[in-house]
Amino acid sequence: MTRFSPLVRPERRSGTIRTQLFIAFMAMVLLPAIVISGVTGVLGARSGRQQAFNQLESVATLKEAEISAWVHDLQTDLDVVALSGTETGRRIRTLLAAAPDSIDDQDTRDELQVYFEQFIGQAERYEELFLMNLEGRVILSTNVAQEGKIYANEAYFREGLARNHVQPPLFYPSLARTTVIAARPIPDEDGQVLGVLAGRASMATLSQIMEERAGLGETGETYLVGGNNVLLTALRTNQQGNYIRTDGVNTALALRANGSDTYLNAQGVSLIGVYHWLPELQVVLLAEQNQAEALRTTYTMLATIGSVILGATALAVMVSLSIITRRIVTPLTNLAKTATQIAAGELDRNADVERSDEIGTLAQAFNTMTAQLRELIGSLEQRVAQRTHRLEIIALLSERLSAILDLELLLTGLVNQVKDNFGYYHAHVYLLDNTHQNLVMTAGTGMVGAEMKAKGHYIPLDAPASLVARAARTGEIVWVSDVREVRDWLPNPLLQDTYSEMVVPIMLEGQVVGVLDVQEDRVAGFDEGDANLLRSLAGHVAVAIRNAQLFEDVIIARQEAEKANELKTDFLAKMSHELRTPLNAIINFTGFVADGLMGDINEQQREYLSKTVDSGEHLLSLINDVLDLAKVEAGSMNLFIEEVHMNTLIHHVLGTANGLIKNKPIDLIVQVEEGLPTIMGDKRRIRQILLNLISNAIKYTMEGKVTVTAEPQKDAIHITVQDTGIGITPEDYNLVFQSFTQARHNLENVTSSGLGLPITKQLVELHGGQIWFESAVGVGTTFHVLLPRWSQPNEGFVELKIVERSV
Amino acid sequence: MFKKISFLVTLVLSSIALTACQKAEPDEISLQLKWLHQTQFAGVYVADHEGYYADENLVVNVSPIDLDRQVTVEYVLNGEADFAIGSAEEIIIARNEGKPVKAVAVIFRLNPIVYVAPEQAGINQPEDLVGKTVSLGPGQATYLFEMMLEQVGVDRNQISDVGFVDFDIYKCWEAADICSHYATSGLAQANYDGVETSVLWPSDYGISFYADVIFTTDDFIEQHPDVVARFIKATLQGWQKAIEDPELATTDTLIFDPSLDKGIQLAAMEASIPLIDTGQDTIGFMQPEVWQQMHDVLLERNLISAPVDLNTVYTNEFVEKAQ
Repeated sequence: MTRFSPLVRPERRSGTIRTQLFIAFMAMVLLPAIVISGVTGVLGARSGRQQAFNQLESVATLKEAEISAWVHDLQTDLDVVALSGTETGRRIRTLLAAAPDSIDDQDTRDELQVYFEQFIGQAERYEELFLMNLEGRVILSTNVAQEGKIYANEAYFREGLARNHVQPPLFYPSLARTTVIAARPIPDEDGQVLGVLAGRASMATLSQIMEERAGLGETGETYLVGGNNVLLTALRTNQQGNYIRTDGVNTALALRANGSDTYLNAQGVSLIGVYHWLPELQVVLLAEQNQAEALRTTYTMLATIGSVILGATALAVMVSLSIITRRIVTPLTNLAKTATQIAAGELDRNADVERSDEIGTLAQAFNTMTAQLRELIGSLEQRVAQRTHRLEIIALLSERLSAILDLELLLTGLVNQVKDNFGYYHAHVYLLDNTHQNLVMTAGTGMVGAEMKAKGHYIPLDAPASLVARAARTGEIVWVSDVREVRDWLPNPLLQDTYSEMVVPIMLEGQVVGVLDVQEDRVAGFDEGDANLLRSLAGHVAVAIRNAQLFEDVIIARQEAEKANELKTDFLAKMSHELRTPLNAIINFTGFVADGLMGDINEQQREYLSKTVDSGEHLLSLINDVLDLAKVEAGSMNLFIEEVHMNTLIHHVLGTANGLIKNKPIDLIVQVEEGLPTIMGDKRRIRQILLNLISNAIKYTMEGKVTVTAEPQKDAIHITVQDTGIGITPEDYNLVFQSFTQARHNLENVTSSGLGLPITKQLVELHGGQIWFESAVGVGTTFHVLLPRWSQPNEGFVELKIVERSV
Repeated sequence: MFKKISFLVTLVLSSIALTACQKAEPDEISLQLKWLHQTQFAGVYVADHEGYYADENLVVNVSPIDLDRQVTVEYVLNGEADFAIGSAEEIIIARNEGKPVKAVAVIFRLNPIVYVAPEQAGINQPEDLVGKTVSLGPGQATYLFEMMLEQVGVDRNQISDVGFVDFDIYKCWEAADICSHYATSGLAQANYDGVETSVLWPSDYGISFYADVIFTTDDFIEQHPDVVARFIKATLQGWQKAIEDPELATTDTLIFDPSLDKGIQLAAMEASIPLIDTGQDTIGFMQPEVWQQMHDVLLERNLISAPVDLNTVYTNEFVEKAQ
């Protein structure tokens, strides 16, 4: 997938278009809404308050009118009772005029009493009607208990003598209640005042009027307060104490006027109140309501208006948003999504174009752009694929080229691969011959190639009409789009369809060694890609050529070395044999002579003859060693595998080894477990291994001991031979197992062929075992041998195939 | 240099001292009550305890009566007290005797003296007293009883008077059919106890007679008019608070005598309210008619030898200032 880094995901900052448009719309719609709401709110609150006051005012006015009517009725009642023309009026006057204790008046009293009571019952305004004489004494009352009392000091009596009077509500301690008293004079026919008619009205009616609070909600209160701030009618709420001292009451009492205000009640609740001063009763009438409740309607209304405005705003915003979303944001989002998908490589995406507006145009332009992009990327991908394919082929070819060491095979394969894989018309390789004068066609494709090769086709380096020669001469690539347009093109009758040609020199260490020539059957059959490809290929070919040449050299060298080695081994084997036969004769016959079999000899002769035998034997063992080594190296050393009892074998070896110690102060110590397992091996060779190691140890040990150990391991037997000899210096470690070297050369009186350890090593390894040593100069050396058990007891003798081991 | 600095320091310090001393030392005055501590004087206790006196920069020492010396005028005249709460008629009598005392406010505008009988005694009007025995306290209790009888024309001699028997209404009733008592005391007690009574109120028979008034000497008024004004203002404020909040009034009263029965004191306080605040005029205000009637009554009974100029007897000046 192709990924374009510049087209990254858009940064998510504060606002998508939707958000920004939303905010803009909100601002557009909300600001006027807020202004309208604010203005409506202020005006509404004001008018609401005014409305609340109006409401209270109308209630107060209504109640004042009722009270006024009631007070008026109180007086009218008295007027009716006191009418002079009636029987009752006459009786009242009779009674007042009579002497206090006149018994004659009893009937009059009784009749008046009855009348008064009936009157009270009908009018339902007074609880008591009573008559006072000029002394203020109650001479008749519907409440008999009141008769005889003297109210001369009371205002209602004094005022009542002169005119119609209403005494404001007052508490009368002897009656223990608050009452309103109306009074009026009773004049006789001459206008002379005879007494006072008075009526006592309870607060019931006033309370009734004031406690009707319809239309004042939950908290509305209407009540009366006396001149001394005393509460006269009941409140809905429990009032602590009987005194009301709100600003409303105080203002009304101070000004004796009507008004309205906002103030707190005793509980600290904000009220709006209307107060009316009622002069007839000298009381304040109040109509109040909790401000919160009074304005609740207004607030509710405002809240409703607010909600409606908000709702409308929300609706407007939603509708706008919906339009924006449908008409603008969604297409843009889709476009962005498509762009993102394209950026992610889904090039087959197209934006929807359903509209003719700017967004449609944008989508259209976008699609056009995408199409171009797609095309561009398509060709790009194709080219990339092509190039990748070529690179793969090169890699493949290169791999094959390095594997094939036969140069002609290699080059033939190369040209065929190049032709097949890249679809060229023809391809071949020319190599410079040893004279550096001619370019010899080494490999060519198809029948044409084979034919040309069979003919031994070549082109002189200085051939004027040859693109191949030109490339070889100049070391530069020759690239001809149309061969018929150049003069130095040499038509090949076998390749008549060649129209364009590219010749790439094959350079090795700066020198042209040949050319790679490809041809196409059309004009301009090559491009830069081909040039690069072939150039690269030519490089690989150069390497392959060198590899092939090197390999050829190595093969030759190896063949020569092997031949020399064979000769050496053969020589050694033959020579040993040729030497051993006469040497045996020399030793044997000299022995005879030394033993006196051929006649007496003196001591000196014996001594010399003995030395001759010793030297002969030494020479023989040397020859034997050389012969063994030669056999091993020649691969003609055969092991005769049988079951070997190690205890027995070691025992025999030690017997022989004891003879080697001669008169040296050396102890041969054997630490071998009884019952060692048997191993499968060549008894004679194993014996040779042990004997070599032990005799070596004795040889290099002047005094001390030589210790032989053998212990079984899981699949092997571990044998050590430890001496207390001179040891081996570290720099000689590498020489120990080499032929014809004597690591411990500094030692006198030690005669050695230097072949013992190499042969031992060879023998151990022939058995599949391992040999190594550890040594310290002046302390001693320990050789370790690990011999595998190879236990295959039932198979009897097994002849092993000896694997060739190169030197 | 040092002198300069010390001078400045002195200056600063003295200015601080001056600021601190700007509130003058409070005026310490004494008040003699006409009886023992009880809600009868609740306004005084409230004014004291609620800080109204302190607000007026006053320290008021309140003394209950010495039961052996019950004439409050004497305490004021001999300088034992600056103010006293006493019976209204005492002022007129003292004036008649040339003693320079003057009432500056009334407390009980309706006289709390009533005549209380058990309901079964059948005394519903003064006329019913004929042939009954009565127990009367001294002073106003006697004056008002006699005045009442005069008003209704009952002969005093037809009623046997056993004199003062006991402050306890029930003990009194053991000795007499009807007893004089305070509406705020004996009657309140009976009402509190749920005992049915019949009561004769002198005010129902055309009798207006102030009970407790606050008075001082002419000299004190002349020398310390501001102290009088502040004292009356704070005291009336105390009374106003007391009648508006009888619970508080009772609580404050009990501070002065914790041995009092709170329930009865509260009942007494509540009974006092309409007698102090009648709904007419402001509390403490004295009506000339009432003084005139009292004066006339005293003159009739020869309790004063000659008419007294009532302007020397009382003044509303301080009550009006207190508004």
